[in-house]
Amino acid sequence: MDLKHQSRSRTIFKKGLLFVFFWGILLLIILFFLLLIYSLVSYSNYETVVNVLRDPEFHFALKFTLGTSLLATALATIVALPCGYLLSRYRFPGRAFFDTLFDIPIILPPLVSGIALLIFFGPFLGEQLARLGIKAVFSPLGVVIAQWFIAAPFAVKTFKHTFSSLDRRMEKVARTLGFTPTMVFYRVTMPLARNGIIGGIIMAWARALGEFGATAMLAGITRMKTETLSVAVFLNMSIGDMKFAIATALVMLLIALTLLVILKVFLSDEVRV
Amino acid sequence: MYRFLRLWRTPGFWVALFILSLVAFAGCAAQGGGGDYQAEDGQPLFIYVGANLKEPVSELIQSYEAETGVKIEQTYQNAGALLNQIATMKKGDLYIPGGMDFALKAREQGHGEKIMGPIAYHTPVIVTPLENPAKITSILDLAGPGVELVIPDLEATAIGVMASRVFDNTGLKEEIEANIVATLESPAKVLGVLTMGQGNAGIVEYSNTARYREELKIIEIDPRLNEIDEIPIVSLVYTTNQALAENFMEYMVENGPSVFEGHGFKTPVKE
Repeated sequence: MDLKHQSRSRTIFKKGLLFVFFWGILLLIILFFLLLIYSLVSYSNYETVVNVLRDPEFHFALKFTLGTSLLATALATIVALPCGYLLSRYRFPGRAFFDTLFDIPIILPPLVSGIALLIFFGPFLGEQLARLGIKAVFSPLGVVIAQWFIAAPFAVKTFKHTFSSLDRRMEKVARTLGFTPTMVFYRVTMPLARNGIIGGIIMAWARALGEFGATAMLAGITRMKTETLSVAVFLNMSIGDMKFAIATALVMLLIALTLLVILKVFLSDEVRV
Repeated sequence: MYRFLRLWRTPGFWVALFILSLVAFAGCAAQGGGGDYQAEDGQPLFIYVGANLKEPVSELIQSYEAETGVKIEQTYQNAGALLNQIATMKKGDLYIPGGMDFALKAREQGHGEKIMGPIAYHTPVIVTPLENPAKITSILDLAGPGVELVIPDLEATAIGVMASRVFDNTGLKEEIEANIVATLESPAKVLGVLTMGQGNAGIVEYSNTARYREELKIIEIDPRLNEIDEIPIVSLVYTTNQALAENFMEYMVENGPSVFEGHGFKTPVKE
């Protein structure tokens, strides 16, 4: 009896220690991230931020980035839904290989992805696509394609994990109650997968928003034409105007964080992303 | 039988992996950071070098290291980004940007002290595909119809800034700039995309073309219209070893031109 009691209290002590450790790590990381943002802020000032907000080039970059990244995210979602679903639900030959293919854009430095895209849309298929009216190289379309390519795997991976983690019994019950497979997908699987799907979409968007390497390679960094916020930061940094670059980055960060927090708060009742 | 395959499930495996990666990292870091040769005060020289100058400068550094036993650490970036690093870190001994403007800017901002050089020149040239589809023979032709100009950014790169001045000199700035289909981060990228058949004309630095003489056509710009920049070497106010830094500057001025010439740069004529 006494021995049992002792060992139980030791377990609780161990558990307690583990959670003190967990909390410690979380708080340290939060502190680190906040200090990082503070370091950025400390190298900027109010006037420069106001100047950035009034700058027409910044206005262009902001609208352009939001437009292209949202479009890229929408396209990534459309592609990732079937890919994630099939990879999660079906066993077919070469599945592990196809699954690994989606890792390529995550593993490769974006610059290399950009070169691959440039070769594909340039010397490889450029002429044929141009005849169809598709011009990706050095065009805003190229920005969307590069962002899509870099962001889509994040959506595919998240969606796949989400579909894999669902309780299949629900779908089976729905089938026994007379739902067709299509109805099961729309009325059971999708609502159950909602959390993960929104998480994947957010992840893809966040990745598209900050994309630079592949975009710069495929679409160039032409001012007021293919200039995303990341490009604007890069250009100002290269001129040696660090204050302006940081101010641009801060505004970009603020907008992204605001959007993400709003989304998370609005969805927090049902969704944890 | 296959129990060892499940090793990864044990915490011990992960602890061992973590320790192993720490050891590997520490090993690499020690190899990279701690040099055998150090300057008198125990610190190696630290130099900020324009990315476009990487090959000749690293060759010169190697020969200087071999001759003197002084260890020199280098970082490569575009000149503007380097200036940001210098301003943030307030460290380092020397700065070798691709243009005099950046040297003067460094001094103006209170980071640079002594400027020596030129070690070599930055000279804009026109490049086109071998078949030259837009039929370009001079800088003025860049204003013509059908030209698809690919160029390093006109503000963010040294060669772009010079190209912009050349356009001013021609009096056809608007027409030429209307033909720009894309700006890129570096002259190297301009050459890369041109060889992939994108765009039909570009402007790069003369030395960049050394490797592309077989693949692209190089058209020199009329010297009366061209802008040529000097590549200097600047000592930083943050140097902790003034004498050694100046010794390296003198070495660069003396030996730099011939090495730069070997890498395709135009250099001051030696007498």
